Amino acid sequence: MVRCTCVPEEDPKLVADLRRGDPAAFDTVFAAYRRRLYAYLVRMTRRRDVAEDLLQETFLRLAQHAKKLDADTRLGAWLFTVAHRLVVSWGRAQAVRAQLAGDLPARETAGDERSPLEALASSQTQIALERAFATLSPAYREVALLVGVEGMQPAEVAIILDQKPEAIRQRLARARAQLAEALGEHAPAAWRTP
Amino acid sequence: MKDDAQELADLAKDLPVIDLDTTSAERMAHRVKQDLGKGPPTGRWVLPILAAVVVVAYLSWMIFKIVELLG
Repeated sequence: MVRCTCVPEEDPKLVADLRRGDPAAFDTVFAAYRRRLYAYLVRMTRRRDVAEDLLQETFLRLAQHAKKLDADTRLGAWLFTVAHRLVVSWGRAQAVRAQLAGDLPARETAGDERSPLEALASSQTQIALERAFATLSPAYREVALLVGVEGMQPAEVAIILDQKPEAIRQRLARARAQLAEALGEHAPAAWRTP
Repeated sequence: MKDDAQELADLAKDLPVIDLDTTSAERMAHRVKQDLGKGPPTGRWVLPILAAVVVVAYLSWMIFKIVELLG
């Protein structure tokens, strides 16, 4: 069974407290979702500084919209929807910037150089895994992270990404296939084709 | 037979843990809590309103000039 931590049972009470502007409720939400959102943002943007900015913006939006939250708001889905939209906006801005700076030489990394994310890894398997996730296109990586790491159901991810559930399932299957290819010998035995 | 979601979840368990350092997290929480319940900043409407005013003024001037020419 896939773990699903996206909708804690205390959400209705937390939402009610947030709507009243209770700082303790905000602390609870911040503690519950900070690490998960940050990890998602770091793996989507591949930059810790950007992820930190986007994380703060995500929680700022929660603070600013707290009074207007619906009583049945699912905080996890709400926060990941905001974070997803911020990542999309950041990605668009990056694309424009890259186009404007098209003549500048790109910074090449040496083949054996480890990224800041890979530096966190403590084993070759973790490094291979981090690199494999990084090779996925953002659309596939996002689905793989939300389903695989966050334990969300494809139907919930479909709502967050504003896609049809079937599209999410297709992305999931393709992400799995690309991960298997990128992982090579580090892939789980069941993934390796004979 | 496991489905894709379950297989990815099993695989993702080996990903390294990524977290914000405590100092940055505390600073962020403190900063964000200052905005709790205040609503979206009103400043974000200033630029769109200014742009709308300029566009409406320009269109009005243009229509006036066209009417003046035709009349």
